[in-house]
Amino acid sequence: MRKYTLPFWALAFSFYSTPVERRLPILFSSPWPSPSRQISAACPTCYPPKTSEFFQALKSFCFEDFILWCRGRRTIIETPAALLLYSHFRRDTETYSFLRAVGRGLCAFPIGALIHAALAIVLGAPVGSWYLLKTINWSLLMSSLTIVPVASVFGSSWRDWQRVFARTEPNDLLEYMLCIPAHGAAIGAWLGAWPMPLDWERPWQEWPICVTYGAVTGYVIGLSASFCVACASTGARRSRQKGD
Amino acid sequence: MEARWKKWCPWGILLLHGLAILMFTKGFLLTRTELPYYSNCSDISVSPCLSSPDANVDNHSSGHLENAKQDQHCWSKPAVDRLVIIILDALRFDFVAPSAFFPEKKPWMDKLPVLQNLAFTQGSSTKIFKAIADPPTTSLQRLKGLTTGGLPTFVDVGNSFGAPAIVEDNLIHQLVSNGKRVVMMGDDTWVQLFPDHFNKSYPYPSFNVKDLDTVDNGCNTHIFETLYQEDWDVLVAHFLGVDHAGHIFGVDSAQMIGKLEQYNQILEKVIETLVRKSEPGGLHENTILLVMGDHGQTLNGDHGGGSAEEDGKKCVSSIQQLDFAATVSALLGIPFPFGSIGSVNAELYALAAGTWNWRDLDTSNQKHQSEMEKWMKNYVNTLCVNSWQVKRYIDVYSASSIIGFSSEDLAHISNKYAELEENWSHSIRNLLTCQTESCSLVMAQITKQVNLYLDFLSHVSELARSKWTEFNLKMMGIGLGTMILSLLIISLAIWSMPTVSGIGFESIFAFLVVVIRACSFLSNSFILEEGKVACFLLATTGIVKLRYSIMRKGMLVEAILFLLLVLGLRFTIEIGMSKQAATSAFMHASSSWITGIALGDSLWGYAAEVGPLLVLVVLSCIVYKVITGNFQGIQKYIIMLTIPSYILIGLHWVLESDTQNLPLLFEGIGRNYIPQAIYALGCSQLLFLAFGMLFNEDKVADHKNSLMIKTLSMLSAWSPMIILLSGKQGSWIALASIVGGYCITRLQNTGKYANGGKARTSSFNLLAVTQWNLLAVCLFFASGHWCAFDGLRYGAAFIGFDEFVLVRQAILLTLDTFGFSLILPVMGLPFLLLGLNQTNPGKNVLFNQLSQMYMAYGLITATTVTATILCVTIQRRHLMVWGLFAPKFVFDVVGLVLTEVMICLASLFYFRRWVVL
Repeated sequence: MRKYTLPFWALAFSFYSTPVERRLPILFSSPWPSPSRQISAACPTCYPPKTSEFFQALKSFCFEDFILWCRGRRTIIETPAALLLYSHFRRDTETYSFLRAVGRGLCAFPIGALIHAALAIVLGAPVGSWYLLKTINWSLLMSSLTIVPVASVFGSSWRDWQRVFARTEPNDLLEYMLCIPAHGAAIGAWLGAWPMPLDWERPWQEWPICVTYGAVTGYVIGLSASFCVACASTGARRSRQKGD
Repeated sequence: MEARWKKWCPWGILLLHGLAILMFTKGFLLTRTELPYYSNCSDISVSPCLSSPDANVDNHSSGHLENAKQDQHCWSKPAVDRLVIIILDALRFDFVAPSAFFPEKKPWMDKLPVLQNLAFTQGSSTKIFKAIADPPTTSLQRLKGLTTGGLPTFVDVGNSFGAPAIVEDNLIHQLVSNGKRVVMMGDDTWVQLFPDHFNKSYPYPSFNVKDLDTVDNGCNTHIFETLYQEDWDVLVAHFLGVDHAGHIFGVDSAQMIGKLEQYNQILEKVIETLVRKSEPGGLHENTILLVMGDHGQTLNGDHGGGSAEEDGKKCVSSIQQLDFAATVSALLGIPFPFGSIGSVNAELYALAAGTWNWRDLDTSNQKHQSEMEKWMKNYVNTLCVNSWQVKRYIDVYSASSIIGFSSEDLAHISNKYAELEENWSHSIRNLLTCQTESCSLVMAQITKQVNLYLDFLSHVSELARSKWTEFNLKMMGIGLGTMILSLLIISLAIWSMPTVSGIGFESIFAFLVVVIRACSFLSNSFILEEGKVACFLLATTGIVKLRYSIMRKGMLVEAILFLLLVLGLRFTIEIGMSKQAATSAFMHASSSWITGIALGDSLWGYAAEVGPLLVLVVLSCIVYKVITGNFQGIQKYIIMLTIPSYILIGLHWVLESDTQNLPLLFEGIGRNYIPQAIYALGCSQLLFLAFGMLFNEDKVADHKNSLMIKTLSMLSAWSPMIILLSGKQGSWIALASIVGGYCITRLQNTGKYANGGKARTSSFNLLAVTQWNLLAVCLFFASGHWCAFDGLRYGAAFIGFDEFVLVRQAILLTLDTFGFSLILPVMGLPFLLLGLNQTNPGKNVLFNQLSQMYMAYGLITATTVTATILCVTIQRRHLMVWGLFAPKFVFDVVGLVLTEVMICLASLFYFRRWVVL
């Protein structure tokens, strides 16, 4: 059982070691400047943008200083880390080598991105050359959060995929760790899309910034939840062992 | 017994909702109370102002005022003898002068050069104003506002097609009762508004939007002979062509340019005539010509909303439309209408005296200076009368109306006015009557007083503008409460029915989706993007269904097909919204890729012509295939009639697309007879069905099959009319609704067997009903509608007919607006039940399920409408309340009532035979 908690700790460490305000922007980290929304020319005074200090600070932090030096780095670091860690805990250790698990994860990376991009476009993500690279960037991130770990662990075992994703019936700790954060990321991304139509004229309302924030938040919450599940189940097991 | 009670359930809900909506509407869309008082000449003696200032000021009436008879002095000194008002309906300001709205010059700009030339060459006697209209910008509202000087309210929009007579005190009434003779020509709305006021009138029918020329040609024939006649004082000519050209062809069209060029010629001729007759002692020696628009229009030629483009009509200095009545009354020397809250516009008023540019004049010029002083004295007195009249109106209004202005506002107005009056009585009045040389030193004081008056008047009009809609919060609360109560009652009724199964994930999810959609109406942004929100939620349910289908290893094709359909709907909705964004002040015009497609090349155009026809063929094949299934008897022939209807639609579209190549005879047949034939076929199908239901009493064993036949025949009877009215997109949308309905029907079974694979019999699927509803909402937006009055496709009302008949055209417009989003979904709802995996249920079970399903559908609609009502209540002081929330409210409420009426009809049609015993 202990070996299953290891990747959790590693991932959790990689998340929590970065200060919380840095965590979100790095993960998204678009290398392209966000198009600043124009204030409606016909009605400039409808909603005077409130220069809330918090938003100002967040904005300058996210989009001016920080993005400049850490664009794209987190996805680049995060994906191999998740890939290697989860590949280590692959199923069928006898038949599949570590490298093969990594290969599976790598194969799943673009496929998962494709699925995410398709679903996002069905849901209403903007289409067009301007948004193409942003959508690719976002869907790769989503893929690394949801599909890649599962692919590394399960490979092409359709039954396991179905169990974890369609029926949400994880059996052991590792599957909890695959299932809950992935669902958290998807639900978080869905919720993160809601502020997009609002007329607050904030740069973070652009696709896919707030969706990414939502996804990462959901992922972190999912990770914490799976940590709680892990604690609870180990605790229960220990007490049961003591009772025996 | 119980069945009988259930039969009346939809009617009871309809009644309850009708009452609730009526109550709320009465509280929310309250009109301004119209006061039955009229201004009289003799009223002036009550005012502190001078009844005839120049009696004391100047004994030597100078220049062009000599003709003014002393007995015509009423409230102010008449400045002109005759007035010619030429109204060009829907005149955009940039038709006349360049505007900064677009960075580059557009083809329709500066198309009335005659006005510009006059303004820049003849200097002091011509001026271009930019008139600012208050929403709502429909012709009737604007005419009412122009003549009464008040603020027409939102409710009157509903009267726009009925044009009732104006009973309030108004400019035309004042003209007539003060012995002015008024001649009117053009738009017949004027005659409806003022049935007994005109000496002579040449009205022409205004409601055939396709007719660009009748009204204008009528004006053209009468205006010149009238200009030479002496038997009138005020001439009103109302041209409509630009409005109609805008509605049918849009602003950027050859027809629009042609109309504007025609107007330019007419105006040139009118001005030439006036100038020729303007020698001293001539007919038009002292005549003022006002060329104006009643409202503007948006780029695609519609109006009715409150966007910046629509409100801005013609000019450079701006003038509030409110001020028109007061200024014209002052110019003609008649009493101001009782309810006018406008002020006398200085620049327009000064035009008559030729002193509008007095500020720029060389002050050393003694003649000019004395003219200017005289004018200023006259003007300050006029403003005094004006302020007194406005104050009187406010006082009388707040005395007779229960919920008028707040007491602080009234006190503020009273204080301001008292201050003004004191200043007036103690100093200015004496200054005006003094005749010594020292009087010239008091110009500064008079100017100050003028500014004080103007300040007071603008304060009052601002206050009126902000407070005019008197919300009756009690009525609104009762209405809202009744709605919420009715929701509870319906929920309980559904709950109490025997066939309800336990609450599963799907029901909770469906409930969440409905609640989320309802909550989204609390923000104006989500209302603007309602189509996208509905599509987002529909896609979410589709993804959940996909997950189920993967889980159950079945119907993967349907799930993916459904998502592809949602994808298509999503793009269609975005194209529709880009149309809306072009006209809306609230939205960003975005998505450059859409315009790239929309512009298109010849190939795209070709596809757009042929595609709908191919889809029609596909639809006909579907209908044919359905008929050749297991159909028997009369129903088969009724459904069969749909195929010729589809063929006729195709023929109509072919004839419409290239009318140039066809002889005139065919053109006429194609334009009117074919659509009429389709309407006739559809109506006869419906009649046959209704009578068939009454008399056809054969007993059927297979209730499922019988229900299916009924549903199919109903849908096939409605569909040709709706497709025809929706235009060429109609066939695509019909196909989309068939595919969507099929997918939802199939997919509803994937969620079953959730626990251990045991099929629960006879439970309807709430998620499927929710999807059905969301699909209907998406179809509303995908068919190019949106919840605003400029989102109505007025052209649809004239498919097959040229003349305007209120009821007929209203029915056609309703069919177009709600056909795909309301009539077909409600009528097709039994398919959901038929698609359930259940083996031949008894008729009572089927009946229970169906009525439950209908109640659930009604509940979903009612929930969203209740949310809209709640949101309107909360946001009633929002900036966009009239531009955005009120239209949304009206659309939703009409949609709810119509949904429930359709549910009642459907329950009559589908349930009847089951409930007889």
